[in-house]
Amino acid sequence: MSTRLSDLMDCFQGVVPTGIATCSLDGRPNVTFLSYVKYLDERHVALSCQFFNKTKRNIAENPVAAIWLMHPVTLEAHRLVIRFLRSEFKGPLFDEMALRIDVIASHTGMSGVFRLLSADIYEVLEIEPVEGHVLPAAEAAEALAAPPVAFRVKGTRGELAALQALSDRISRAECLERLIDALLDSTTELFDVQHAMVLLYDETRSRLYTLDSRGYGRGGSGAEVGLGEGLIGAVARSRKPLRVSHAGSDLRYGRAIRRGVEGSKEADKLSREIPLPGLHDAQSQLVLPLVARGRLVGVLALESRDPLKFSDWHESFLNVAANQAALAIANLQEQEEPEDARPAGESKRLKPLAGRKRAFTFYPQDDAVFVDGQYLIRNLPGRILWKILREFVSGKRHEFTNRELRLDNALGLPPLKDNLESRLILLRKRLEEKCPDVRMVPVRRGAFALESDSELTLSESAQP
Amino acid sequence: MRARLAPLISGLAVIDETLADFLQSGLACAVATRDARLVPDCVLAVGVRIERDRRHATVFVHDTISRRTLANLKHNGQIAVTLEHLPDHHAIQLKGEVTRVAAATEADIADATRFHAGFVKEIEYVGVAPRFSRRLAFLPCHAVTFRVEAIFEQTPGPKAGACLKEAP
Repeated sequence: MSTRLSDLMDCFQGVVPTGIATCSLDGRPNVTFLSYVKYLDERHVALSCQFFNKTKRNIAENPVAAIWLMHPVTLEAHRLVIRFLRSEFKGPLFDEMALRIDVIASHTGMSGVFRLLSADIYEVLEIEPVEGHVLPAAEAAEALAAPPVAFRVKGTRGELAALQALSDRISRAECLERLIDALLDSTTELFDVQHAMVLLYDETRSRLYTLDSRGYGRGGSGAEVGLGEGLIGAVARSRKPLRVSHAGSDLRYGRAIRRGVEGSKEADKLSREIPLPGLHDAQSQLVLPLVARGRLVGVLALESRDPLKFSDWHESFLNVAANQAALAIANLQEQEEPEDARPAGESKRLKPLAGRKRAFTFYPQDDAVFVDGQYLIRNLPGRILWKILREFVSGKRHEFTNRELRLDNALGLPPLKDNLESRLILLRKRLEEKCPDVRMVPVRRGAFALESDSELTLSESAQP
Repeated sequence: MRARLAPLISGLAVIDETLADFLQSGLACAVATRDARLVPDCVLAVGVRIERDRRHATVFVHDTISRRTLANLKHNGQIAVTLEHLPDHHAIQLKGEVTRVAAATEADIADATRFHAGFVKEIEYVGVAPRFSRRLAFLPCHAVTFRVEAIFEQTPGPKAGACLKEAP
């Protein structure tokens, strides 16, 4: 074979339609479009089977098929002749392919209805370039010649230098906030990714919450995703990375199937479609689980409007960085930060500026805090904010220590792995986004002061 | 906006006007044939014209890339054609036996040009840049006419492959 299967990697990403032809034993051909072909090695590909359809029946009779593949950018075509070898119903390949299907199902409200039946493995017998499908043009060669990754770190070993820079920044981070900054800044700067977010896992509620992000503007912190929900939730549940190169196409595919299910006996199992987090028009996503010592710590999610932004290479490479970041996050979460021995209350309390006012309202039903009628934060960070606001407004104090928050039974912090630091980071970021005139300012290790340029009024409401 | 297909097709004896309009609207079009050993072949085609009797269709295939397809058809005449509207994946498959293969006439080329322009729009919708989509070649082409023996729902999902109509 003059063309290697690995030369066609971009063609497997499903951006443009892939045709598959089969033939029954009575000589009747069949043709349909595939959503996804998975490269396994130089001689094998896998197709996902979600329905027992005519292609599958033909293959059971006559195991040879022909595939028409096109490059998603240049549209140059290749014809593959493949032969069915076996179906896998469990194992790493099945799990990996099922994850992609689960994500589509979850987004389009079809969890439990639309699922992978088998990962079908085929041997590649022939690879034939289709000459004359596209007119020759210098542009095609130009596009293909572009390097897959635009490293900001230059040099003969740019990729290693980028990984080293990222690793160094993570290693040097002294606290969780600096660590998350290092991870997000390194990812976006060194790997030329504009949109990235880190979500941490709250074990007590089985949910992920966005701690920090880059490229989404203000207001992203605190957004939550349930375990198993959508792309991020599915990655968190499976603890396996996932790369989607054609998010729009996947959703259209999922919706087409959903329309079919709507008219079937399984229609009552459908649930609502879940909005995509982050960019509404993202075309490619790479989501990496942050796992340390077998425990889910969180998720690093990257997005792009470029449908081919992330390659296999990105997935492997950034997974190394994600693993190191996960260990560092877990270490910082598990060690209680040493506190400075000085007593609280030594910093100067600021006076509010004349005429500026803020009204905070607490809703005990879900521990939600609103500021000037706008949602600010809820759950445990909401309870923490309400405690410090009350003590601040009553004039008692304006400095607080992490230790006293841990010892306050009314706040209900879990006895182990309380993630207090990440919750305080989230609270600080939400205040920065929603009311920057009220701030939580670190005054020394393990302690912070509440500062306000506004006069604060507090109220509680039983009505949600 | 395109109409939903399945409800409009079921129960029809021939390809009705609504289905014909859909099939001729400039869609992604794939053709399957097979050789004497039952090895299938797959090729991207230009589009399908529904003939006046609504029982025959003509698919246009690009000569340069379809030599194997034309050889298979000369051998056994068995053909399957799937047309898909890429933005929502609605798809229909036609199966039948070839009755005529000929180099495209001027009228055929006019039809093929219209179908090709529609497909270019479809593929640009899914993200292919015009500087590449406009490079797709389709001429010279052959007109392959076949008797439509069966029509199948091909939209992905539980109903994919359901036979909507079989010729008597």
